[in-house]
Order: sequence, then structure tokens, then C-alpha cells
Amino acid sequence: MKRVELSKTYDISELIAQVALRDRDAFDVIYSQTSAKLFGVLLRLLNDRAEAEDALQEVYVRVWQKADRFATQEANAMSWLIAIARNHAIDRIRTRKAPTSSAKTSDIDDVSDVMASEAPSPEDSAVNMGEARRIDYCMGQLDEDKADAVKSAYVEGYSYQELADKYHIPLNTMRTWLRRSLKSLRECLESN
Amino acid sequence: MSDDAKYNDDDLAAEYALGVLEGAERENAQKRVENDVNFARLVSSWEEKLSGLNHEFKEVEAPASVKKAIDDKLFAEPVASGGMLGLLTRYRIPILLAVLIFAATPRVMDYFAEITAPQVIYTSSINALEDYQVAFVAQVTDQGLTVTQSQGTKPADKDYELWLVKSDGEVVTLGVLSGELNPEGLEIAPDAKFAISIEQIGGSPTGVAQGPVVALGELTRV
Repeated sequence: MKRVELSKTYDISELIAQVALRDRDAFDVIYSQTSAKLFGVLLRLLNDRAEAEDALQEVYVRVWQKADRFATQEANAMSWLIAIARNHAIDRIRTRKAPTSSAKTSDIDDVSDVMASEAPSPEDSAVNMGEARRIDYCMGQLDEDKADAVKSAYVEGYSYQELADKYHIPLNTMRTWLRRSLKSLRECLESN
Repeated sequence: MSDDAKYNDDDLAAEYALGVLEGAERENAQKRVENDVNFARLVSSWEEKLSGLNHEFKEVEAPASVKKAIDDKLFAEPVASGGMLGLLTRYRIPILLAVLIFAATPRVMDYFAEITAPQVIYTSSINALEDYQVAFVAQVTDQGLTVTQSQGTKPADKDYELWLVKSDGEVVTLGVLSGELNPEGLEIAPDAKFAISIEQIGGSPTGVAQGPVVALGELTRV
């Protein structure tokens, strides 16, 4: 096994390009540099440690298989990886047989406790904090409920139906709400 | 105009990226991401827009068992066994491409006609020195030089470099085993030896072995 220099700063995009050429060492480095973040994503969305571990395996198998797709996009590498993890987690949530909306908030506090002590993520670097502040500002421009709905969907994986239940409004009203909110959000993000 | 009438691909991309769709709606959007480049771009652009929310996700170290399970899933077969077979498997796509491109040239087609029965001139069992767990077999034919590792594995971040040690003490590099060995114009006397050292990827930059010599072999005339 190749030893990885931990102090080095890696260009994740470059590494994904190498993985597309079936470079296993690059894959190992990507894993060591990004798995904690993706595991955090999966834990938060799935709210189940064993399932999150299982999902993490699937996500990196996809990263290995889909690396060539990344090369054709202009996406930020970390956003791309997180999107793969989020999509996989949401697929799992949607195919769960039992209704999850009532259980949704139950052990999130436990997971948050575990995560509170962890080191700051690459997302907390200056550039990304800029991004984060921008979206925080734009979310702040939305009504509180609507911003909360967007965040619940993104961070916890709520579906339209679950959001409608949460806010006690009809499904179609929820759709209209959220579409308008996303449009406002885009306008705000593009002009700030 | 109602909101429904204004509903377009960008709205759908936003809903998919946010993750609120379910059932057939989500599946359809997923299929479009796979098959429709423009739609995939809209989704990707929304993923980027929403990525500011990623700071909500904290880092949590995953247990080591996960990486092992991933490696087992992806590389369980020959790569895990290492050695030349592992290298061949790992680089099978580039090797296949190189072979196809190479074979397509007319000169090479002619060459293949001749290559069918190379005449072996020397063989050498290049055996481990000291505690190294390696062994190699070399063949010098009228077509060229081949070296196969018969025991041990190559460290991923190193190359094995082959050296010809002449009887007068002069040492000449013959290249790295993972690259192209070049015996062109090389005169090999029966009293020469082969040596193999561990070097940085691509071989020693100085033309003199820098790493440890791990194996040595005498030539046997066939």
C-alpha cells in the first residue's frame, strides 16, 4: 500500500481525472481526503450509522466507475462528490418501505453530538465560507419557513410530500412554494 | 400565467438537485441526467448553486472496514495478488489501446510474422539477495529482452530497474521493468550478470542505481 503524505494539498479534480484513467493510488488519495466529509453527508441524511457505512461503499464504487463523467463537467470536484453522496442517500431514503417522516427528527441529535467534535471540513476554507455566507445571505432573504424547507430538503432529505406534512399544507401548495423559493434563491445567488 | 405554465427544465433540475422529488418523477429526472447532456448541465449548475449549504455537513471519520470493503468490491480479483499480473490487470485498458494502435501499423504486421518464433540466446534466473522476497526470469532472444517477475510484488510507488553488470565491472541500465526494456545494440557477453534494483518510478535519474539491489542472476547460454 502506498503511503500518503498527509500534509500535501491535493487537487481533487486532478485526482478524479487520474481515477478516470484507473489510477488506484489516486483513488486511495481521494478516499483519504474526502471520505470523512462524504460520511458526514450520509450520516446526516440517512441518520443510521450502519446504513451510512454501507452507502459510503456504494458511493466510492460509483466515484471509481463515474470518474470519466466528471471530466466532461465544469463542476467543482468536492460539490460533485457530495452530489453523488446526496443522490445515493436520497435514493435509499426514497426506497425505504416504512414511512420516515415521523422518525426523521428522532436520533439526529445523537449524530450531531458525534459530529460536533470533528475537525473543520475542507468546505470551511475561506473560499467556500464565501459561498456558504452567500447562500446564508440569500436564504435569509426568503421567508423563514421557506428557507427552512429548502434546508430540510437539502440537508435531511425531505421529499415534497414530507415537507407538505411537516408544514401542514397541501402538496401542490408546497410545490409552488418551493419552486418560487428556488427561483428567488437563484436570482439572489446570481446577483450577489 | 400560472406557476405550472412557467414550469420548465430548470425548475425540474432544481427540484432534482435539491432532492425533493420521489417515485416516477425522481426516476425520470435521473434518466434524463444520464441521457440528456443539457439537462445534466442544469442539474450540475444547481448542485453548484446549492453547494454553499454543504458546510451543514460535518466531517466524520469512517471506520477502516469501509475502505477495505470498497477495495474488495472493486479490486478483489487479480490486482490484489499484485505482481506482473496485477500490473497487467490494472493497466489493461491502456495496454489494450497501445497494443491495438501498435498492431494497426503495417510495419508491425510484418514484424509479427517474424516474431512468431524468437530464438532464445540467454536465460537468467535473477534471484533475491539477502532478505528480499523476489525473483525474476529474463530471456534474451534475437527479438529482444523480456523479464518476468516470478515471485513477490512491486511496491506501488517504485519501479524495478534492470542493470547489466559486465565482467569488467561496468554497469549499464536496461530500463525499468514496467516500461520498455531496451537492449538495442547491446552486446551481452556470457560472463555478464543481470541485477535488479528498486528505484523511483521511471528509474534512477542518474544512470547509476540509487536504491538497493534486490536480485542478481547469471546468464545461461541456450
